[in-house]
Amino acid sequence: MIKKTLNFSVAAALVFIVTALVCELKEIPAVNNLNNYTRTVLADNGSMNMVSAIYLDYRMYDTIFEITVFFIAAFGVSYILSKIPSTIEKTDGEINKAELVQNGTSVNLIFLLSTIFAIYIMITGHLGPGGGFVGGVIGGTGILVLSGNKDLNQIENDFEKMRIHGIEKYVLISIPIIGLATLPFTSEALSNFLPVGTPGSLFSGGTAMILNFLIGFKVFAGTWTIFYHFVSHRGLI
Amino acid sequence: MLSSVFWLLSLISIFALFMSKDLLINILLFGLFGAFSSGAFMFMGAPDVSFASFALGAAFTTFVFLISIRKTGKLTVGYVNAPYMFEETAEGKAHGFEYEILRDFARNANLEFEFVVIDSVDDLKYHSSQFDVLAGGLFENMLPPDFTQHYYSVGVIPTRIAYDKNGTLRDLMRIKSLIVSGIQTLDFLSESVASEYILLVNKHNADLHSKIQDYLKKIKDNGNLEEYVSRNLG
Repeated sequence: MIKKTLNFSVAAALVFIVTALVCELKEIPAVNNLNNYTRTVLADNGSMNMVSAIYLDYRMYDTIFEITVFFIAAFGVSYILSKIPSTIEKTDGEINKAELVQNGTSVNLIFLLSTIFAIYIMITGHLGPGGGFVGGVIGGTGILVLSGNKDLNQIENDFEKMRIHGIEKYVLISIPIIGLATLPFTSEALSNFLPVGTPGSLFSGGTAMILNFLIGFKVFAGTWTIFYHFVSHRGLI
Repeated sequence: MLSSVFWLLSLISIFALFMSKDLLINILLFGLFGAFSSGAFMFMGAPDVSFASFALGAAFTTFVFLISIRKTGKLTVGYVNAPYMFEETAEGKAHGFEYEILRDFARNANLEFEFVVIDSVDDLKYHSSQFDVLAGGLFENMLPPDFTQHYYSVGVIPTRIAYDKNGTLRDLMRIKSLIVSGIQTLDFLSESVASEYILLVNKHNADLHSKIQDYLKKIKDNGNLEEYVSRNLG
């Protein structure tokens, strides 16, 4: 009875909050007098996607720490869980699937499509909605679906063979380094130093494309790390 | 306007999430919430947030949860070796009518399936709480006395039972296997009486009992039970 009342009060509170938010949102100021970014972003940064311009240029400081937090989360999961014996043995001849789907063809197709989409979203993050983080998560989901029909350890071995976990750490370090590389060119650190280019063309937005790709790679590898450890230790925690 | 519709839909999915008790449905409703809120963000002019909400809330989290719930539950079946019903073939493998039904039930209910052989019917009484389900061509008269106080019995299909010359109770499938293997001929039996093969479900697990009953009713109604019968029992 108490549990039910609690559930209902939580639901009622959620209804209240969401309703309040929706009512509040109607009073958002019109876009044209938001702030200076709207007027200067094309000249400063050259990104068609203003959100990308903000988080990869004006607020790069936040992004670096966001990526660091994500790395620490993935690292913590792999550090703690690798001390617990795994439920799937590496020497086992049997295939350890995640056992989500049975149809191999559709799984491979989903993996292919999501990888292509992820790369597209990563490299066009400065032109339209998307960006590194979303691209990385989509790529990670693709791998996750693939594990429904492939041996998990096989995928992990392939990752180790491609040295993805090693590259991941260099990528993490290279993001702040790219940020600091601006110091010789401009007076400010953590901002754009490459040519702005023609807004709307693929090679525009300065460092946006490189950073998006690096962040995407980082997030992709991190999601796989978290997922692999969770699945190989499921039922134990 | 459209965003309000999406917010309303995501609210409905939250409400449904609070109402439902089924883990699988809850996960799917959570994914639905992610998808609807993503739609709402899209129509509020934030496509970046919408993408992130969809990729994380609707796709990634749902998949991770779906994969992890398979291990939350385990269906432990203890079985007596019974020809055509629940027979061990090789180490860790089995086949038979009740085996297939329980295996498919476990798959449907997102449970991991594990089965352990029990040497004889008399040993059943030592396993009063270890197993979720007991199977293997069991019928009411062969069980140890007072056994049903620990277990619910669920009828699967009707059978006939008879005493043989040594006074041992035998059921249709055990008689069939004896005759097929040429050990006995039909004339060793007494008059047969009607009975029913049952599954025994642990009384600690009342939820499982109703789930198995529902599942058996479902496959009886849609005719799948006939397929199990013709595949295993002939």
